[in-house]
Amino acid sequence: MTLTVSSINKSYGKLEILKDVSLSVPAGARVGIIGPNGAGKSTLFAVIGGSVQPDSGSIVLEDKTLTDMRPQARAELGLVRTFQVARPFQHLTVRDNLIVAAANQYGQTLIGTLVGGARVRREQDAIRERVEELLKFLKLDKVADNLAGRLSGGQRKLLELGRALMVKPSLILLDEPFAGVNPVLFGEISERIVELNQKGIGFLVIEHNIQALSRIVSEMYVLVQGSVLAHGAPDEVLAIQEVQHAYMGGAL
Amino acid sequence: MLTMYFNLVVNGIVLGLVIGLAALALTLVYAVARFPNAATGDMITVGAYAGIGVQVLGSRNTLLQGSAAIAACTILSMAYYWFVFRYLRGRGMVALLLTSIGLALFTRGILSFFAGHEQFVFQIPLVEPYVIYGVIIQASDLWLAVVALLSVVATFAILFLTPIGRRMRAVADNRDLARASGIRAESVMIPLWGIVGAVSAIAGIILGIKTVVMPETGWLLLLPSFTAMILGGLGSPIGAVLAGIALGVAQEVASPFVGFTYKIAVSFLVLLVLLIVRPQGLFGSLEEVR
Amino acid sequence: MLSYLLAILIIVGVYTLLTQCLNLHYGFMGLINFGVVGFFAIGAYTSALIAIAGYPILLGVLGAIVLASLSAWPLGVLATRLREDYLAIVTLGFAEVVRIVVTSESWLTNGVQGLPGIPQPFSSLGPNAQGLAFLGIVLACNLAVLALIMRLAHGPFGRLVEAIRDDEVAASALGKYPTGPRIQIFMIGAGIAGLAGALYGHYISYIVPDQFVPIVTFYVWMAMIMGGVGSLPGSFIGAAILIGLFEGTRFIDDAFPGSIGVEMASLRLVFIGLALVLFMRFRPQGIMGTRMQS
Repeated sequence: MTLTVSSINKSYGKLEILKDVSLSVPAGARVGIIGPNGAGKSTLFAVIGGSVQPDSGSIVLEDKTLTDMRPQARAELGLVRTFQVARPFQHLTVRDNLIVAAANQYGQTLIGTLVGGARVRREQDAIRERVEELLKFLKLDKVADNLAGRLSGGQRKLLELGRALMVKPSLILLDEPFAGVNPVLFGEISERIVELNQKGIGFLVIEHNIQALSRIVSEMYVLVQGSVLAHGAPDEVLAIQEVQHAYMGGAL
Repeated sequence: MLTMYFNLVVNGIVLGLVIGLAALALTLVYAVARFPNAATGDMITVGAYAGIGVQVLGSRNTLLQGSAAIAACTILSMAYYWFVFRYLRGRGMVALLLTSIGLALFTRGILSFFAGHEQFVFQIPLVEPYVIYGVIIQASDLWLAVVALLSVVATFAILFLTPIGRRMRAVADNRDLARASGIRAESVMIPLWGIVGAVSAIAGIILGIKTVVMPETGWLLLLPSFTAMILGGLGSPIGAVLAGIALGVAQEVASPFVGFTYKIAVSFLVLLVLLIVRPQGLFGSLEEVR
Repeated sequence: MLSYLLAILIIVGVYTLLTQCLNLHYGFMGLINFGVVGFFAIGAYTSALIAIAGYPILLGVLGAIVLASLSAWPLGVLATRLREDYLAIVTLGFAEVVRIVVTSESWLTNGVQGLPGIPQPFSSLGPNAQGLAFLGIVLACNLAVLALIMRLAHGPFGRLVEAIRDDEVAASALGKYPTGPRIQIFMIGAGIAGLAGALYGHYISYIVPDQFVPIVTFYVWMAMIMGGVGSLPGSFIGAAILIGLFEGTRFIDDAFPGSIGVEMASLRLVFIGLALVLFMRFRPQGIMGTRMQS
């Protein structure tokens, strides 16, 4: 499903965080956003994810306007986000983190949990089956019974990705998938993303680490001081002098 | 008819000042310690009983009674901090709130054990009331209002004009920043709890003179005071006092319609409407609210 | 002696129900309910009035559960929007308003005189047999509530609640609505307190507004803290300690009119207040040793 973000503006008081930001993620594409600290990347994700309301502009997924929807409704339509600092459910095990995330569980309703009987049992069995597969896919099966709060940074990122996958999304917003991750795991995470993409899931990725990002995306937006400065294939974008200047003081 | 309402308004202002003082005591603690101090109500009761104690010993001098109340409450309040709250820093709102409830019950239990459950009344000399266009203003009400206002002014003077007040506000604003500039939060706590005690004492004396003194006197004031604190914008001393006055007037003016017993319910209703419509209070900012 | 023991056990059972209510609200869902006594009172008065009007006691008890739950609905809705300390204040105020209503609306509740002659079940049996049968009912109610809470806590629903409590933002991003479970749990817990009220009224057979003062709520908090927050066996242990060591006398007094001095009531306040302070300071995890959530 194609995500179209048009002319988003967002200010806090006099501080303009996002200025007329537009971007689009074609169905099944891998798109990246780079930009220096304070460029407004995370605010943009919050706006797309629905936890922050934009002052103006629109967010459309395929043919549905999401702009006024709550985060939950967006997730139900297949748009799921992760967080810059991973937010696992600390008091649940890794396995339960994944189980709880599955969408539309009858067992999670009051009626279902009290009198759901066989229907809930079947549903939960099916979810557990998916979870076991996913644990192996993400190489989290060895820590499946650990409390999620005890995971390493990289494992948290993987768990968050897994949780998003449990929702069966068509587009995942990844907020800095490599931040706080042991570089040894970079390849691991990149591979998983590419594999998932081949199954048809689109990705919009914020990342600070340009090298790691350019390996997984085919298209890139550069966000500087709340505006889109450039847009194109990673090589093209990184070759632009302004980008080099804005991003790293020219030292790219 | 109209004069009846004016009389209710006058009465409401005096009771509202009491609510405002109680809300001020709540707000001061909230600003630095971040919990609603449920022991405030019973601290007010202690103030009222201290005054009654002086009267029982034979002095009808209100000034003497008030001084005894202030002394008792200031010491008790500082003791609460020193022996109890000091050890609970960083333990979360629920622990502090439950502890303050515990202190409230403890205090009331001690008071009622020694003073019993019967009601006491302050014996104040009867003075011809002023009558202005049919509105009756008791001389005592006038004096009580003046005393209440003076104590509010004094509190603000301490908060805004003295070095210790400046340090208190710095800690309330941002504990870490205050620490970074060399102000230890602990250093302002003792004087702050002292002020809270003194303010409560004055509220207790005024309330005692206006109504009757019994073990539940202060506890019953708690709900309107909480409401005034939130109405005034959490952590805003001026807002708390103004909201208290507004609430006192609202309660009194509403009483002919809803009946005497439902007076407390009035502030609950205000609280509900407020939390639904404007949870940040009338003078507050949104950031405090989830 | 047997009747004395039965009376104590029945009151312990009623308090265990109340403690289970609070454990569901606070221990399980993190809702600070300072108005337990309000739901307790609604349950007691509803069931008493229905039974006094001549309808079956069972209908009264059901009515108590339903009305207590319904009265919790607006508070539950508010709870989803409020900071936790505000909810504490609002529920405290709610319980006070309930008490004012039952005190003032004499046409319905007989005001401060209270409701005497609330029908008791099994009245055809002898006193001890009746007490025993009543104890059986109280026990059955406690077990049913225990089963209900276990079911809620240890299934997909419980997992969802844990996730919401851990990180509401992350749960929302995954499509989970935190409001539904909060309101539902608040209402279910209130229903449990209503049930406790109904049982209390039918056992004591005489209720007055003074039995529903705010301190009752804090007795329940004390029982929960002593037993350990979130520990269901702890609910019973906490309630048993509270009643057994200390409260029994007063409720026996309610049940079999006689009098214990006002000093006793004051000492009780001192004791409960001191215990609350000391537990919070030295052993917030309770006797059973679970972690206190804040």
